[in-house]
Amino acid sequence: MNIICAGDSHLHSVTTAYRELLESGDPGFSLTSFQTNDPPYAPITKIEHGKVIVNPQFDIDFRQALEGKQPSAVFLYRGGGEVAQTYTNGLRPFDFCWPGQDTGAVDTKREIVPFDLVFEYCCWQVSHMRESLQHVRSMTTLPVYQIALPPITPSEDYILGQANEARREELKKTGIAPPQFRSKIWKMLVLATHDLCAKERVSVIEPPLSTLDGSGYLLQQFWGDGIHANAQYGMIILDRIVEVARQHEPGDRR
Amino acid sequence: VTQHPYLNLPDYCYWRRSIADVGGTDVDPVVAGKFNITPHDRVATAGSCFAQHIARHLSKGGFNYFVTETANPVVPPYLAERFGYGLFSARYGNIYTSRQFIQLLHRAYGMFVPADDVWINDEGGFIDPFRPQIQPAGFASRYEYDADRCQHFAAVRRAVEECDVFVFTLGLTEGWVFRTDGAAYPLCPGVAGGRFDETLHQFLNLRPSNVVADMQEALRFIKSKNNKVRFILTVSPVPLIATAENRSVLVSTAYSKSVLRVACEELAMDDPDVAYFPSYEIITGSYNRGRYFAADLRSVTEEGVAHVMRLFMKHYAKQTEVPSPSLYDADNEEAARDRAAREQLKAIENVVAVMCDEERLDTHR
Repeated sequence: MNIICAGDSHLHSVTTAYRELLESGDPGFSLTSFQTNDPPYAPITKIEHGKVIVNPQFDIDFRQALEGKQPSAVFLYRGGGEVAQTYTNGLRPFDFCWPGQDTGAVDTKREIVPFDLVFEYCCWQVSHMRESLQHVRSMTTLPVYQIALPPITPSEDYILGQANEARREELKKTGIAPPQFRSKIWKMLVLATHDLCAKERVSVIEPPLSTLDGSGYLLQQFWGDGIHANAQYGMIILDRIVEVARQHEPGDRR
Repeated sequence: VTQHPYLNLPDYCYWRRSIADVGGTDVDPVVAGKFNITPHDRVATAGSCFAQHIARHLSKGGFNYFVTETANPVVPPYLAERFGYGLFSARYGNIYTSRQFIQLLHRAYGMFVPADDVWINDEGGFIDPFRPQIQPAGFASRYEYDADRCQHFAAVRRAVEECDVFVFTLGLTEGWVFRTDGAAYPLCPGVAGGRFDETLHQFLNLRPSNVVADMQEALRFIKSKNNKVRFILTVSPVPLIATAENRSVLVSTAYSKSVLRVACEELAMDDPDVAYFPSYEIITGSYNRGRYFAADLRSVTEEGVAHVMRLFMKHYAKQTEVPSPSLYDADNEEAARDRAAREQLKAIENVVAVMCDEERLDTHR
């Protein structure tokens, strides 16, 4: 079984997990990955003459992979910068209230931004993926899946400890946003991803519940560099990808 | 020749010399600004939809447009505008009547708490009766509604207390109020939220004495919080979209605008800190043969707004040129695309869109 997955920095956790599988024997499937945040596929989209153009090299290579590998489904693990952007408190720390949520979960010392506006903001944040989703969608009639971003790492100390010096200084300037806030924004971004994907006929694979603690944060065993999850998390995602891909395999190819 | 008072008057006192014989765009009924606005002066705005044009040009024309309720910096500008940020100094939406204006001031300082506090729309969104279109689908929860209004009132207070010049555009005399406490709505309940109930809601068409009293109180109130403030009053040239009086909307428009115009004169006549700026006359004056109105005979064209703002700059900022709109945008591709789209729209109809609550009155047929 052949699996094709294109994505940004979060894809590393999956490709690392795949490499580990290869090192320990035959995983029983092949993974062809397209790292869209690195050359030659970065930037994945750019504006030319007022139009958004998908990276031509990605277009050629991805088409070839679709034809040559004959996958049963296509997987994307795009996005991520939008979560990283909300890791700091920003110029004007804000919070928002989920409808029906206990208002005790709102930090009243922060500016309260209307829920709808935060949602629109998150939709805008994930909208950079639209053209690439549309492009992939136009290349194939196969089912397309977008993998949702991993949950957030709650520990401020851990995030600072993992950051390089430049990043650490940047994080210290306005301070790291509280985990409750980052988690709320993450949930909102997942919602916005669902919204975008539904419009483009792309399904979303949610983070497995087994990776979350009771507060909805990423369990410590899956922490990576403070923003990305580690290869152990990548392995769980890879298992899920394989499971979904198998569901789409024609009976005679199983 | 017999001596009489009209003999040695300046040209601007004569119709032929200053209006009929002068080219359309050169007509200048302002004559002289009552005071000068420096680039450092903080200029706050409020009022009807036409005031949005003034706000837009102030911010782009080198004035220190004072906005105290901005969207959080993470929110992109196009989204902020859709949610009513930056249209005026605070996110109060359109303030059409003098009654609304004075009540907003009182509410911001906790001196008036309307009984009709919140409306809930069919989707469960919480609507502010006093700025019903500011949040497109309503606020998502009562908590959020209260928190946002609290922030809003703080922003209103800051605009009042820290501005140097307050520009207020009077729009209408007609409005609807809550019977028990007289709370004035910008829009009739039921039009953009809420439910109309004639036992609760009452039509009010302000008389000249009402408008003068409301505005005197409003200006006095602002002065009491900020004694350095100066005021510029304008009257919106935009006709009523509908009248609740049983008569022609044309007649109601004439009444409404006449009352507002008279009130401005009353307010500005004896107070050196209150100026009247004749945007109403610039747009509606017969000299332009209706050219400053779009095909609907109601919306003001960009050309008309440019004429108004050119004279505003000339007489209050001592500038003679309003920067071209094309210079306003950030120099990036997205802005270039936006500009191209705007120019295309402009070619179709040279009208500038503003968020106008009133237009909801005429969407049923």
